Amino acid sequence: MVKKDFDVIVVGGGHAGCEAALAAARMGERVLLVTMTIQNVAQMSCNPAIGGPAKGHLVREIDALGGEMAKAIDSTGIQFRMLNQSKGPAVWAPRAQADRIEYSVWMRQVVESQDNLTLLQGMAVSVWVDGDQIGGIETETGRRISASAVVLTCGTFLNGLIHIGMKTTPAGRAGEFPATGLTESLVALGFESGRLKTGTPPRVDGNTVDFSKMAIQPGDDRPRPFSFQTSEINTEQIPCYLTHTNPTTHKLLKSGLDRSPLYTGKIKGVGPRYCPSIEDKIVRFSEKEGHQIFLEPEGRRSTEYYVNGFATSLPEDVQLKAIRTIPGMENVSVTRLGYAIEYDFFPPTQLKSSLETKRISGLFFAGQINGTSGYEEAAAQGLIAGINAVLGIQNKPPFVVDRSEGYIGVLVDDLVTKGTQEPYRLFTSRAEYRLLFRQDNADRRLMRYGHELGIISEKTYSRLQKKEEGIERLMGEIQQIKPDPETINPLLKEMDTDPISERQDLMRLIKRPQLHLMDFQTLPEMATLIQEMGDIAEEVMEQVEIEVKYEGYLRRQQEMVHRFKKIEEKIIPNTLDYNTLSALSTEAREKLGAIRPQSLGQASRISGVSPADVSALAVYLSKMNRSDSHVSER
Amino acid sequence: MFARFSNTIAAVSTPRGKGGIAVIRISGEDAAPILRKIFTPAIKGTPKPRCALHGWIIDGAEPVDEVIALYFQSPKSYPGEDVVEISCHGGLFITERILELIVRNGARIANPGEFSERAYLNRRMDLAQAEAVADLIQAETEAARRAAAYQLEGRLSERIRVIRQELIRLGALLELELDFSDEDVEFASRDEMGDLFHSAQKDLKSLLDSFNRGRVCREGIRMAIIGPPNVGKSSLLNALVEKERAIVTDIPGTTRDVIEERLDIEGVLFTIMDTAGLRETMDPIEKEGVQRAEKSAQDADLVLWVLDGSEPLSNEEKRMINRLEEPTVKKIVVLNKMDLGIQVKQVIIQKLLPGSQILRLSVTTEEGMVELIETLKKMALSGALPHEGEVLLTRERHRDGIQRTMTHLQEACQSIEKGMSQEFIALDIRGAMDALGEIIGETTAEDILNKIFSDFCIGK
Ligand SMILES: Nc1nc2c(ncn2[C@@H]2O[C@H](COP(=O)(O)OP(=O)(O)O)[C@@H](O)[C@H]2O)c(=O)[nH]1
Ligand SMILES: [Mg+2]
Repeated sequence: MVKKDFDVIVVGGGHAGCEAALAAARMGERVLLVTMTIQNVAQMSCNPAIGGPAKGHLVREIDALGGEMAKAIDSTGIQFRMLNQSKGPAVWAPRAQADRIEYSVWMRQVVESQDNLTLLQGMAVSVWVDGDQIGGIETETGRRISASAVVLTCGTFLNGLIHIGMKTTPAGRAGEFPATGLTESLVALGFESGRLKTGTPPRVDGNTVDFSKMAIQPGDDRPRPFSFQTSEINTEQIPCYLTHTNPTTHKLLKSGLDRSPLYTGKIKGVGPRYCPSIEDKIVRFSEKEGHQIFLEPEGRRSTEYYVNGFATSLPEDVQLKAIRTIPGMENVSVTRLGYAIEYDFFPPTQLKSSLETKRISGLFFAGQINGTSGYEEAAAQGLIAGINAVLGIQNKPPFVVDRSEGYIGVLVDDLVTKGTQEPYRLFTSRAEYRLLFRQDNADRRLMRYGHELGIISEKTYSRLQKKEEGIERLMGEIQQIKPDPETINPLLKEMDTDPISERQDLMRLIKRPQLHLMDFQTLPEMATLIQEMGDIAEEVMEQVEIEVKYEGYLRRQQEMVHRFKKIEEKIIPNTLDYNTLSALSTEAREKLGAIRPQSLGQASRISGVSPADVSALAVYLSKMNRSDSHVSER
Repeated sequence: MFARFSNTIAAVSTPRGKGGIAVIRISGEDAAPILRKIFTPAIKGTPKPRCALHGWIIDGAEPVDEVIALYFQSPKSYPGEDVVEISCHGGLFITERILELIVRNGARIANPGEFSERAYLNRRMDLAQAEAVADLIQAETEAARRAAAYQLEGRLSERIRVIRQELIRLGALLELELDFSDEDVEFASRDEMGDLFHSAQKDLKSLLDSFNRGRVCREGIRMAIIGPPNVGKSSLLNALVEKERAIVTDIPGTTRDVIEERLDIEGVLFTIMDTAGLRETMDPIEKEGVQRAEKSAQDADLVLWVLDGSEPLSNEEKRMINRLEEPTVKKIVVLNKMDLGIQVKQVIIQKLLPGSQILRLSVTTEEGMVELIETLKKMALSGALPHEGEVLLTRERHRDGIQRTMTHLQEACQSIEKGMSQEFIALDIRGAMDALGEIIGETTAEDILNKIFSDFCIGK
């Protein structure tokens, strides 16, 4: 066999591309990362922030598996907050403002200094295949580069078209060329493509903003890192500012609707409902007199601010006039206009759970090309695609996180079984087992996989093992430590909870909402334990406390997972002809035939497949298994 | 195309026998081609969807009947596929003749309920409605027919969808505070959520309460005739069903096994069980019979205690009654053989079987039989026949779904009382939605998000 130029080629240097390239290189393969503009590697095209509900969880999971995003934001964040702290631990969500420029520079350095990883500025205009196996890519200059696997992470660049008012400009992002040719090359191979839309707000010069008219939003006093490998964050934090639109703003915006590409039907792509433009908000919720606007700093060494909440594709004159009606922005100077961008995507039901395409082996898609939005969603897919590109080359079974293991599993499974009608964003409510997917236990859920794959170091992994041992030990000890009433009642009184009349173990005590393990740190037995555990003591106590306090709920979720695994294990043979199953509804038959789910569980999540269809399928599968002991591959 | 659906079916859709006209329905992809082969329109033209065509059914060159033909194009028809309806002249011969012609041209006779089955498979109805079709076909009495018909109309599904909508709204309010906590939206007050909770629970409760009546409609009333030997139980069964079903002798212990007979009283199906007389016995067969009798009494919706009114109760009989008395089961006490005089005192019966209705009668002279039948009629009427449009839960599967929904809502309420935050409450709201969805056959993971996006101004 002729030696390939590279083992893996990653097309696109965004959040998905960087993770894919890094993971593949760290797993020992020779990787080429092709990107249109090297200085824009890991660019944040939209708001300069990472995390939030579900997304912050995702970053923690990426980190547990050996990805880079968490470390990048820990190093370049300028404001850190833990959201939802008034709620239960499962929905606590880390979020941070990033220094947009620093983030990109930081990631570029990591990519540049990674062994086995070659960086190339250029544009891939087509992929070529060898039968149903990927061959490589061709660049715009006509260079053909061969590889065993290709990961496409093209973001919004595929035939990207920017709209500002009635004016359109072909672009991948403001000021950058679009990627042309690749969509056509994929369609020629039989892939189905679609069109989506997303938007971004104007940016303004902070020197022209009167912040005294806005509410200040500081970060947390004690910033908590995203990465399990970052011990603490000490950088100075920069605040955000909050202001509001008003009826005058809305009147001005409305006056421009006749030149809105959204409302005149010029934009054909479907936009995200959870991230509407300001014109969309004032039309759909016309009774609302004001909308929140956050001014988010772009970086420490820049005076630009991102006007979050004001995404728009209205004409320039309307944008400029409307923005100046917002308190604090009366004299603002707009540095960049808001715009909408339409781009091609490939409905992700054309992928397997490994993110490899069903059609061409060795070809992987990750990020916005799959119809998702968000840096975190992109990075997670990039990581999974990069890992599986390598496993494929090494003839190993694919790595799949299932829906019961983490948000990454929910994300990928949603994409490949349900597809998406609009840019897909992760929400905590998309997870069936949300109470188990906490940001605090992502390491406990996933790090062993990262270690097995060779992208989590021994050192990091042994710390987790130490933590696990600590948890087990502390869980045992708190059933043994039984303080007597005289010692403990003063504390109980202080914490506003009932005194005890006889000795009671700590496990029972910390079930009370008012009490925490930390409250007992001065008990001699606890003090010794804490001292012995050293730097992991705090994390260990956190885990034990959560498991004890929410024991009933966690058990119920575990039972649900158990049931889930049962139907997930029922594999559907790839050769099954759904047309012969007369008990299925017509719609189910069509959907199942098109998506070809790998398990009964996946089948049950496809829209249009009803519970009755699922039972019919289950009956058929069990009959089939009885009649022949045919083993199918997943 | 799919083997099964290339199969075109036909049937006479109007009741059998002589009528002014009869309707023959053909469904499947060959419906229109078959019509073309056997029908000549009076005015030339091809059948247009939903337009009546006048013309002749022809067998080769021979005219068979003058008819009106109607064509419905897939999916806009009851079964969701191509349908032709032929209104021909009524009468057994002519309809059979046309049906035979249709079959000769490529259709086959439909199985009972097959049009509806196809409607379900083609998503023209939901799971609960499809079950109603099965019930409708099997209905033996008016009550069963009505309950099924209302369910088929989609009234149960509608009720469940309404409740489910409330839960979706509740879920949306909870999720809003989790996934969009830093958004500029007004979060619902705990009171508003509480109201939603209570109205959903109330609706569910009333549905659940209808189950007993619904089951009576679907399955009828199971009535066990119980009593000591030789008091006239078998005679009473025979008198009720007006045939010599059970062997009657004056030898105690004649009836050994449980004998079942069905009787339609005012549209409600009564399954009457005659049982072995209750007494202490050494005979192994009779012993088994007594055990079966006791079991019948436990499973019954209604127990008819028969006693010989002409003899005072023996101590053994009193012990027996005491042992079997089940306060929650409805019962009627019949003091038989009143033609021989009445020795048993009412007060004693009232003490032994409190709350029961007591009737005196004689199977031999038929005195009091009318009153017994009247009593049974009243029970049938008060308990059973669904009134116009009433929604009743008729199936165990539905009851189970609703029961699980209620359990989830109770758990959710407990979470609220404990002061747990939204995600814990949401766990059970989702469980409740899934349980309800199972009844009508809907799974919709996206429902809550869709609700949030449509009702709240999200996205900063
Ligand atoms: N005089 C009189 N005899 C009856 C009456 N009903 C039943 N018998 C007789 O009582 C005997 C026992 O009847 P049977 O129906 O077999 O009683 P079972 O053992 O309770 O089923 C038979 O000889 C019947 O003819 C009644 O109302 N009056
Ligand atoms: Mg008898």
